[in-house]
Amino acid sequence: MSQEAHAGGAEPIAVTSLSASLGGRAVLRGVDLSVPAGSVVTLLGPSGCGKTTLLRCVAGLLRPDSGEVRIGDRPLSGPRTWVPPERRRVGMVFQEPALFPHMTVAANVGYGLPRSARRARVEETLRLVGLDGFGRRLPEQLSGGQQQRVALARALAPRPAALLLDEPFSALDAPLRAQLRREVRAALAHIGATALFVTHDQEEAFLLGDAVAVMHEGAIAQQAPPAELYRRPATGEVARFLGDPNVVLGIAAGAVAETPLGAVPLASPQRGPVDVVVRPEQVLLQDGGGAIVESVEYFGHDCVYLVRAWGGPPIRARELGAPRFSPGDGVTLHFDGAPTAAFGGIPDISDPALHPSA
Amino acid sequence: MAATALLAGACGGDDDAALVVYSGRGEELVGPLFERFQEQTGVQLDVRYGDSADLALLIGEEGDRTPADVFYSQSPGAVAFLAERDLLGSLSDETLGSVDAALRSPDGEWVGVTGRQRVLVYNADEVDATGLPASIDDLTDPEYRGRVAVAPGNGSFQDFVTAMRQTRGDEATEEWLAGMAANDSPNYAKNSAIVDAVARGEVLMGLVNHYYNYRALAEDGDLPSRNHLFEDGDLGAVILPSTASVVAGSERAEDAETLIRFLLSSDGQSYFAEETFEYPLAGGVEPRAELPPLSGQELPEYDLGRLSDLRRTVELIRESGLEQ
Amino acid sequence: MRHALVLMVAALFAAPFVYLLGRNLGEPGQFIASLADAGLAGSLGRTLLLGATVAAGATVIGTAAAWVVARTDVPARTALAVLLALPLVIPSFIGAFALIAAFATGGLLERLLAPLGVGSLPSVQGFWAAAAVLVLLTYPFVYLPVAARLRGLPADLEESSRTLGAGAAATFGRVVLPQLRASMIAGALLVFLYTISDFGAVQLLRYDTMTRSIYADRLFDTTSSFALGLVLATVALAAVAVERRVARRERRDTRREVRPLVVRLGRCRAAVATATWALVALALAAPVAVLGWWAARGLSEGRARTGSAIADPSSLAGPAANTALVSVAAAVVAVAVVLPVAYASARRRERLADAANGVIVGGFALPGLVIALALVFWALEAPGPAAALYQTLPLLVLAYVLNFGALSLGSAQVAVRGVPGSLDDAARTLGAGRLRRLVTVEAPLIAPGVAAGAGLVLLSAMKELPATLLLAPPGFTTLATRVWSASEDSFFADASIAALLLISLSAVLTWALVIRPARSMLGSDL
Repeated sequence: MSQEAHAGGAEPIAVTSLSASLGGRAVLRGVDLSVPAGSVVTLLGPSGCGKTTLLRCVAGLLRPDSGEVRIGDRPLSGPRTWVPPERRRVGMVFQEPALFPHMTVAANVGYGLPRSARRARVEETLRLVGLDGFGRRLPEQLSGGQQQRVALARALAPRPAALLLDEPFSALDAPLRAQLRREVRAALAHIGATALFVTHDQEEAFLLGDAVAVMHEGAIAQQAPPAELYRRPATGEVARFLGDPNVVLGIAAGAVAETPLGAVPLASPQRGPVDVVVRPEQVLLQDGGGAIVESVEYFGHDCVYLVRAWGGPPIRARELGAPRFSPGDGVTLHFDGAPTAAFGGIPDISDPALHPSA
Repeated sequence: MAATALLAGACGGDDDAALVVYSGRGEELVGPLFERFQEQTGVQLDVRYGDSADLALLIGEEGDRTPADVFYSQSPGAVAFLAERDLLGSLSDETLGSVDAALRSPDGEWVGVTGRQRVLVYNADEVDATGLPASIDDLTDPEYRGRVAVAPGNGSFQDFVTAMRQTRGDEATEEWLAGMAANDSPNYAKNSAIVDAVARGEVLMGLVNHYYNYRALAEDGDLPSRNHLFEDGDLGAVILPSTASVVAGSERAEDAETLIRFLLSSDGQSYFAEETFEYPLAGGVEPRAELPPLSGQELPEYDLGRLSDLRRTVELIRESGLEQ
Repeated sequence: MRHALVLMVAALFAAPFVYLLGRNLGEPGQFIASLADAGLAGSLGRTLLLGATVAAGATVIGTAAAWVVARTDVPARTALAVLLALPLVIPSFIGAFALIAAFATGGLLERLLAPLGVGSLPSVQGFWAAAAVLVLLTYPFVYLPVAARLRGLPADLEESSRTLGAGAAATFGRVVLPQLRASMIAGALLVFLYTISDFGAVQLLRYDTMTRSIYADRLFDTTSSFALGLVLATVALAAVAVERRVARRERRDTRREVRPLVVRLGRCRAAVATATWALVALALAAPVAVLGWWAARGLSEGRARTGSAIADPSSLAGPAANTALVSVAAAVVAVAVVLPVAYASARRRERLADAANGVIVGGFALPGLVIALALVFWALEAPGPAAALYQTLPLLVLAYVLNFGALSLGSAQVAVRGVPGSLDDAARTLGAGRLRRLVTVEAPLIAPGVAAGAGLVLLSAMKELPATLLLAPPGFTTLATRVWSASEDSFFADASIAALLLISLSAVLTWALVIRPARSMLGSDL
């Protein structure tokens, strides 16, 4: 592998109709996913949905049953192709740091480098992750966050064509996690890496991803930039998974659905009974009324009320600032926000909003 | 078959290769003698030391591909195993003739090299030497109940029983064994264990080969164990030979026989007499001074070298209940 | 590729079993008849009873000893930790003889106690004597893995149990013991297999097991010896299968333990220390003292005798070098041969790996005589080049490997399981091929565990007797064969000196090749 190839840098990842199974159980069912060169796609989904399996297929640590994986113009896995992980030029960061415990930090970072280029590149990469001068330590002498940074440096050092990260911060505590997220985002942006980042944490996915791919039961339910994903979830599952929403029953009539929260504007017009996605911040509380505040969770910058309004599950409402109500208070609930998603109705084809391109 | 073996030997094999000896007698015991042989004759020896029975099994497994030329066995039992499988060659009359007919194979497959006498070892601190039994037959008296140790699984004891069967017949032997069993004779694994137990005072006396106690006394002169010899001609004092044979198909039969004759020479025999406390059987060598001379004894003719006989012996011992 | 390798190893270890089958099934009628004849039921019953009793005793003692040195503030822990492992180097034929001389009527102990007015001690023989002696010789098979497991067990489990109100005993029973279960069962299996294949101790202490019958009948009734050999092999394979079922695999905790847990013994400290030192005294000091006594009292006699080790101590140099050579070779080869199986069986349960595991572990229960004869047969039957191995050291080394490979397999499996799969994944994504991963990642990480297993092979090979006698090139003597031949001819001074040298050499080699490298690799807190 020439030095030029190393320096060639980021290449796009393309996954097409990928299916894989573990122990006879189908885990991936026709995954399509693309990560444009130099961008970060976060792969978001509940545990057990197949995120890690997909990542391992891309890395070559797991052989899929069918479908293709390409990085740049190189087919890595396909009907007649199989490139083993050691020849894929992908970097990978695992959940636990997986540092070689018997090697120094420098030896770990230099593991994927040709001998001649090792010293300078190790120093450079350690500087990138803020661990200048840690080269001679052993992994056991580092904190958890430092270990994970070494793991990142180790994966970045050989200038991989693509970087794969498998919930690398899940074992760290919250403040450290937030700090590492910022650092990783800066580092990835700085080197312009193509990265596929697996997480089950929506905040992390939105913060790090140029685009977020939501995975559900072994397939990609939707891949879109974070804002769009939040605003226009393509399926009920995506909507339900993002932002911890309330789902209320309503009757749609074109661009509006009638719900217990009053009239709710819909992003896509439809008719008939629908499940309307109402985010907690879209629920407005007013003093007095038949709904009863059940509990209050105070987070400092905001608070969330759990309100029992009618027979169904309690409604969550989020407000900025300190709580105004206490458990037992009677309140009234209103919808207040931009048009939202609803699922389950019959599409209203007469509505021009359904054909935005036309 | 024996003739072809000798012929093959006469035609000569690879003279550079060493003569291979499977020795059932230990290196401590016979190693120096083998050294002396190499110095004197220039014939190189490769010696495999091991348990006689294991070495016989080894030759049995190797069959005609065995590298062994000479089998030097602790007892005739292991030889019998090989004789039954036609794995031994014949010795020359000259070699056979140097030993009393009672202590060599009638078929010429083995020759006795040294004699081990059966004795009663006793603890002199606990037992009055004057009241010791004259005959092996006294031991079945109630007087000796629980007092006489035996090693029923040991080859020497089994050879002794075979000798009894050949002189007295199976019925009389069964009777004696039953008497010993009825007397609750304590069991031990082997001769050295009996001598050790007698010296410690765990048991008062025991049936063993004569030389174990001499070696024990040589290491610790304060031990109270002493040998008692049954009266002349008593079966209890039977002489059991260690034996040497040429292995069938040996390409070095001539050298093999040279080695055996060396063991039987006055040089070899005096070594055994002086160093291992055993009875010399040839070469006109006298036993060590502390040993009673063999000359007064009439040696009956047993053939201890038949496996079928030994098999029956083991059966009788087991049936008697002597083996607890 | 990997399958082929495992298959080859399995076939290699199956060779003695196949030999036994062939020997018996050639004449099935005789086989069945001789089983009926040999009083099989009684013999089998006694064998199983002794095996189970010794396994139980060794498990209790070995586990207790491990807990004391790994978890308590008993004085001189480090010294105890080493001394408690050493009885493993005493060959059973000499250990049993020495223990009889030490503790039986009129023995060394009685002489020492005589001035105190203690009377005559009972004779030492039969079932309980054999069981006791074998427990003393084999408990290290349990002690070593359990102590290792305890050292790797995070203290917080025990600490949380204590904070939940459980006392030291309850914590041990409910929290620690379940964690040790697999190590204990694996050790107990080795003790069981050692016991049913032991000849030295049961012969001297006169307890009639199948192995004793195999030896007793081998000349007069070879057929029945081989029949019993096959039954023994079947028992061994069954025991291995039972162990595989019973022992759930332990989950290794990959956290590194920085904070060793120490249970304060308080008032019991003196009693526990006494009991532990008593174990050392019984299992190690007593036989060594007897050997020393024999050596000392025979000194003057030995000088007079030609060929005696006392007259010419340098005559033991050759056997000592030979011993070191073949046992180190056996340890290295054993590890190399069982590693593919350790990988296959540790990473995923495969039928082939299970079968290989079975024959490897089962081989530990085959008497050395059977393994030797099987190798004689195969070497001579094999076509062409294999026959050239006959009567050479490689064949002897192979015999040791077939006999003792089991001892390296267990710790190799533990070591392999202890390496997280993510390290291999990480190395692969960094571009490392199979060989580089093996050399730079796997090998250094599994080395300490594998070395411990190699150490057990080393110690066992050093004292091995029957196969050494039959398979070594003529003239090639080891310390064990010297000990045996001298003791067989009642030259106890010579035997003792060779035995003491054997024990010292074992200790030195274990230290140099196993303990020291493992320490430097894992840091000094080992």
